[in-house]
Amino acid sequence: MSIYEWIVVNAYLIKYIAAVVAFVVFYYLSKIVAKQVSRLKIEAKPETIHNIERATRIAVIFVGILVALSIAGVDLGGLIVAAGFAGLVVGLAAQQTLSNLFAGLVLLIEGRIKVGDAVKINNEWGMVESVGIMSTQIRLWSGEILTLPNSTILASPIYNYSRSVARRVDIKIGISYRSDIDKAIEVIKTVLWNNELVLAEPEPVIIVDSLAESSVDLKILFWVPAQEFWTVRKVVIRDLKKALESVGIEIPLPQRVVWLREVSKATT
Amino acid sequence: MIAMAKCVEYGEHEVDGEISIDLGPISLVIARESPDLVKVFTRANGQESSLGSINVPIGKPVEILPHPPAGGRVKVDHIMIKLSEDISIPPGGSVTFIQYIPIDIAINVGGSFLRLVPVRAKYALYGPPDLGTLCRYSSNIILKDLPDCLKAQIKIQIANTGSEVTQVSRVVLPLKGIGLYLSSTNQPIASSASMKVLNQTYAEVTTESTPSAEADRISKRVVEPKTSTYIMRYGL
Repeated sequence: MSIYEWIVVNAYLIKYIAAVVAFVVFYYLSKIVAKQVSRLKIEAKPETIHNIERATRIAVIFVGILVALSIAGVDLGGLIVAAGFAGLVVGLAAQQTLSNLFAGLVLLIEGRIKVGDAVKINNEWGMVESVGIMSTQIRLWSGEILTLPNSTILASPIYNYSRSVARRVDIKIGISYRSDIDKAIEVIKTVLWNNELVLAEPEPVIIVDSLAESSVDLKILFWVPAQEFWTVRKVVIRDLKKALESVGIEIPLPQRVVWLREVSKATT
Repeated sequence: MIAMAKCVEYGEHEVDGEISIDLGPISLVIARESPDLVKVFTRANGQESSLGSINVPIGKPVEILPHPPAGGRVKVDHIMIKLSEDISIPPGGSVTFIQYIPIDIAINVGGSFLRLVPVRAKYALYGPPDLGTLCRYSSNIILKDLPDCLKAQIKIQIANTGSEVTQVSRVVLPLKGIGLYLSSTNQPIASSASMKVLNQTYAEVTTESTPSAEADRISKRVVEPKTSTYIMRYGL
C-alpha cells in the first residue's frame, strides 16, 4: 500500500489525530496566553486580573474544542440545532441527573475544590478524594468516604481551607485583674515572635477584648501558613501558658466573690 | 573530641569525632556515627534537633557553604525584605542602597549538595491569603541577632518609572534568582536586584546577574545568580 493509499484509507483516523493535536495545542496556548495576561501592566485589582486570566484560559480552551470538532468533521451548525432538541428532551427526562452534571462541570471549570483540598461542605469536614462529573467524594477526618451529589455541593457554602496559603489563628486568654496587662502583652509578643511559623506579616494583633467576670480577656490574632494551622495553634497556646506563668501572670479560674452580710439581731 | 569552629570558617571540615559550628542563635553539630555516616543536628538552648544522617566516609571532608535563604519548614519561593524606613521616590527618581538578608547553610560532600540548614527563618504573607505569596522574611530585628557571616549584603536599585510619587517599604525577591559569593574575608555577598515601580500597586523586581560588591572583593562564587522577575501587585 502506497502512502497516498494509506492516507486515503485512514483519512478519518488522521482527522481525529489532527483534532486531538489541535485541542492539545490550544490547551497549552491557553496556559501561555493566561500567563501573559497575568503580566499585563493594567491598573486593576489583583482579583480582577486573576479572573480575567481564568476567563481568557477558558475562552481559548473553548475555541480549541470548536476547532477540534471542526477538524474532526463535525458540522457545528447541525450540532447546535441537535443539541437544542436533545437538550429539551433529555432535560425534562433527567432533570436531577443533569443538575448534578452541570454542577460537576461548574465545579471542574471554576475549580472551587480540587483533590486533596481540606474542606467543610454541608457541615461535613474532610479532604476531597475525587471530583466527578456527577458526584464528589470527601474523606471525612474520621476516615469514612462521604459521597455528595454535585448539585448539593454547589448549593452549599464551601469552606476551602487549602485554597489560602495562610490562615488566621484567634486565641482568647484571660489574665487575672492583679496582673500587669502591658507586661502580659510583651510576653505574648515575644512568644509569637520566637515561633518560626507565626507570620511576621500580617503583624500579630493583641487587644484587650473585655473586662470579664473573672479575668481581663486578651484576644490574640496572628497568621500562620495554612497547612501548619493546628500545629502552630497548639504549640503557641502551650508556650503562652508557660511564658505567662514564668513571669507570674496568672490565668485565673472562673471565680465569684460572695459577700456575706450579717443579719442584725433586731430583725430576728 | 569536640572542636569548636566559628561560622566564618566556610569550607571543608574533616569529621573524625564531632564538630560544632557556631551559627549565632544555634549551633550546627556534625558527629560521626559510623565509618560511613555522620549525624547532623542543631543545638539551641541545650535542645537538639536532628537533621538526619548523611553518607560521609572517613577521610572525605564535609564542605560548609553559605546558601541563599530558602524555605525551612515552609516551602517558599520568595523573600520579603522589610526596609527599616519607608523610601519615597519622586517620578523619574532612582535610589540605590545596600541591605542585608539572612542566609542559610549548605552541607556539601564531594561537590554534591546534601542538606540545607535554615538558621533563623521567619515568614510573611505578601498579598491576600488566597492569591498572595508566602515569603521568607528579612528585617532588622532578625538580622540583629545574626553574626556577620550569616547575612549577605545585597545591592538594591529602585527606580520610579511612573508618574506619581511612590513609597516603598518592602521588596519581594524571587529566591531562585539570588546568587551568592564569598568575599576574601568570607563575608557572604548576594547578587544585586532592581525594582522598577510603575505605581503603588505595580512593581517589577528582578534579580540581576551581577554581585552586590566590586569584583575585586569577590573571592569565590558559591551559587550562580539567575535573572528572575517577580511582580509586586499588592502594595509596596
